[in-house]
Amino acid sequence: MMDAAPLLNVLIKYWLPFIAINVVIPALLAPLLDGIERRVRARIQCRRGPPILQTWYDLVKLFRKGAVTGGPIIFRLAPYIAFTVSILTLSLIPTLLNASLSFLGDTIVFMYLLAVPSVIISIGSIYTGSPLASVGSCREVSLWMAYELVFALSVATLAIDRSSLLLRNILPPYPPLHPSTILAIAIIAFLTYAEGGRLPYEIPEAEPELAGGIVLEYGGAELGLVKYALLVKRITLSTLLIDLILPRTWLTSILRSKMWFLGIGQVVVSATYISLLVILSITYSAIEALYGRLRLDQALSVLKKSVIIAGVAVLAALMGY
Amino acid sequence: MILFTLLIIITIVLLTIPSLASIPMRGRGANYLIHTSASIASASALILSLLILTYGTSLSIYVKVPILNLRVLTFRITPLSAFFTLVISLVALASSIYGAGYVRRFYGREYLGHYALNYGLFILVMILTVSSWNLIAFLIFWELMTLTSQYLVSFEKGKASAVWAGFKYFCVTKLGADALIVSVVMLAIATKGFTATFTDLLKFMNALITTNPLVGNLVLAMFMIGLMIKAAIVPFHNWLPDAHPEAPSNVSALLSGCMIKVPIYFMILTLNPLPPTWRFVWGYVVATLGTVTLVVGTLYALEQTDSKRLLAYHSIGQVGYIVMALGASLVLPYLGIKYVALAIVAYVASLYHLLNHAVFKSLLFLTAGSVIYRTGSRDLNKLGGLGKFMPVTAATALIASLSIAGVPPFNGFVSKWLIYVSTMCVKTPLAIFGALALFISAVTTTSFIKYFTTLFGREGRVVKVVTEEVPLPMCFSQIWLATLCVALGVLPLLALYTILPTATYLGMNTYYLVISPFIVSIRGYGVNAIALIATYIAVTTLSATIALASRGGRLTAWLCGSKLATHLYSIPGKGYYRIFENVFKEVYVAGQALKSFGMRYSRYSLKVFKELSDSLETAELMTAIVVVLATLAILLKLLKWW
Repeated sequence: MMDAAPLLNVLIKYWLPFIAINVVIPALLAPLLDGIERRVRARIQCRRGPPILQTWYDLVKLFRKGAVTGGPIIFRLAPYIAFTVSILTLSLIPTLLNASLSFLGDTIVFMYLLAVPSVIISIGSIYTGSPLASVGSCREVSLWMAYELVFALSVATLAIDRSSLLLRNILPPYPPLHPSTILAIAIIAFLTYAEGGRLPYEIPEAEPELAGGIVLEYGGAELGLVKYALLVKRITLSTLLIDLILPRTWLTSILRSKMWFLGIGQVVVSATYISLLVILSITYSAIEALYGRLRLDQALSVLKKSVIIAGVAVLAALMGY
Repeated sequence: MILFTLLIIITIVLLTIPSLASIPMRGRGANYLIHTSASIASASALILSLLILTYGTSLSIYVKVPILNLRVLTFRITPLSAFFTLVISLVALASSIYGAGYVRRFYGREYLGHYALNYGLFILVMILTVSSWNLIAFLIFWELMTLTSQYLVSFEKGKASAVWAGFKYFCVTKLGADALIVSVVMLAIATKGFTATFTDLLKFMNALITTNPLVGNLVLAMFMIGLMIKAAIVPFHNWLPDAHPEAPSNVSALLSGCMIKVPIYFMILTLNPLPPTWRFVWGYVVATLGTVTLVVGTLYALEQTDSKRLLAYHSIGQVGYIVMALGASLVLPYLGIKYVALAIVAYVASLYHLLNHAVFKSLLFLTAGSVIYRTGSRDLNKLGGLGKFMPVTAATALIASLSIAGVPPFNGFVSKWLIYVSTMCVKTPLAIFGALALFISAVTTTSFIKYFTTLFGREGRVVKVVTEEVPLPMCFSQIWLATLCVALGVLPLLALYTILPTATYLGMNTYYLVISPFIVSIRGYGVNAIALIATYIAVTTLSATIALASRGGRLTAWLCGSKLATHLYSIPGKGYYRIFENVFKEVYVAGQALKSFGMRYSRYSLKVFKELSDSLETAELMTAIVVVLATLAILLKLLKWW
């Protein structure tokens, strides 16, 4: 049993290197991955496409601008809260290192924190009274409710299978892999795609229809933060999927037994992680390039069907399959 | 001991004498007299319950009939009832101070003397109900609770809807009381009579249910139906969304914050001492009904466009959470030694959520009341833009909304988190219940995005009313409850300090729960760092706010260049989630089918009272069940199966 005081000591001792490697590097990588995605999408659609660093250029440009639109305090605060929380969410799951900020029931905290950015930005956007932003926000939270149902059921499947709610027990894939677990991972793979706001599900922003929707009223640095928060959310979701399929501890232990250099296992894991991120990004953007946007009710119907699959998975897990 | 006696006397005297004294007063006098004395009385009840929880002792009080030397009314303030007294007096304190401002809107319209009488007695009777320790005291005060609250529900006699809601409330809870009475009479026949204490009764129930499961469970089922009607568990919930919104807002806070918690006290009291097998069975029954309640209640809340009705449906949903966790705490110990730790967590989660719900739901009702006080409207389709006029109300409403939604630093999160931790990783249907609760938490959040933004954000659709912040006593109550929302979230110790004595009293092992000021954790399960996260968010947000303070100008929302006013474009409350409701329409269709079945059944069975039948769909169904069960019980008695 760990008490509060040792926990604090541990945090202070490992806090800085942990944050630097595990949180800051992926957060810096996120716009780069978006650059890759834009490039891939452009190539599939027979366009030339922007340079890989374009998303970074855009963000820097936005951060330099002052805010043009003002608004009520909750509206102004929302991007900051959203960005902070999305960074915090990233620190809850292992990324480059095998370590993460792990504590009792962190799965629940992870799910809640994953939702906070969209909730707080929705509140801010509706608060301004802009009709397009309100419609976008209502779409955002309607979709989120459906995601949450599917997500909760698949997390319950995994939690039943591993009899734990700790992310470090739930995430790593270890045998026996039951059919229910595989089904749950498949559903989560779908969710990581949809919840990242990629094209068939890019309904809240809906550029041609709502002119940016949920982010319409934001400008300058605040818009930059909102966009950055979305990118961090995407990389968090991709990381979640990678953590579910990448056997980190197994990889490390195999390498540790064979090699004289202990750190090499960690390096291999980190390299695998980054290459998986890139592969995932390319796959996602390839899928994204092929689709148009769904209507909200169509998207919700698809999610409703996946609720049934998730329900089957959880029942199978209860019966021990 | 003298202090205890003094506090009890202060509470009782200050809640009875001013209530009676204010009958002849019409307006101002009644208002100040009753609200001042009720505030002092609830403060003293608060201190009394805190003292009892600190010492972990029980206090017994008897009212005797001198000649027969019979203990007619027995009261016993155990740590468990002290906890419920604490919840009641916390909310009563806030709602009494708030009421001093709020009921001014009735001056010259309604007769406040009667309000004062019922208001004081209602608080007293709720406290006495959770302190009663024999059947006759329990029945008397339970019925008085219904009677006084029913008057308060239909206080605005001019409004047809209020009178009708009060009538419906009366009919449905009357049937609940009938079920209770049948069960109590069956118990009274079998034991020493109405004056047997609960200690004897629970022992007797325990023996009965092992020797004769059929009769024992029948008695228990009747008792539970009576309690569930009052707690608005789903098949019996339909009175609540009509009754709670019609009362004056500070009374709505009491109804939703305290009254629907009183039956939960008796559920804990009766279900905990059962023999393990039956505890397990009843635990599952309660947990299943709780899950149904939280899903149905909250999904119905999503489509409401009346501010107080929305809150009333959420009360149903949140009681579902409490009851679900309670059921889980009864089921878990049966599953094996490994789950004993989780059972205590589920129990604590249940009471924690009960306390939290009392705080944030009464705060929400108070904010809805403040809006009514200034605008006279509850319509989420028309209201809007009040945030600039009523900053305190808006800020407290936001805190309460985030609390009920369970957003991390606030109190709702801690209790919900405890609920999921205790249920979701268990290889039983409880895991599905936990997952559904997690989904419903998202629905609650979206529903409160609607509540908050329609009232305080955007622009109203009606002609703008000149508004200002509500008077000081109302602001004070709101700030006091909002502070509690934050404090109970950041310092779980505060709540656990009051909950753990009740667990010890019920004989649970609190060894597994490790508590330090900011952190709750379970022995052998690791540590929870919620407070660290909360601090992290607070610090970064604060620094961002400082960075933000110097920049930016104000512009109005972009309307594609249109010159029309913004309020013409704002979405009405009913438009927010219409598409979601359409896609997930099965819930509503099923509810409608059940309702129409109930209507048809009631028409069929009650042709004589045709004019009443529309309002009584569930009520008649309940009568039929009660009559059938009662007949069955009498038959069994005759057949000497007893």
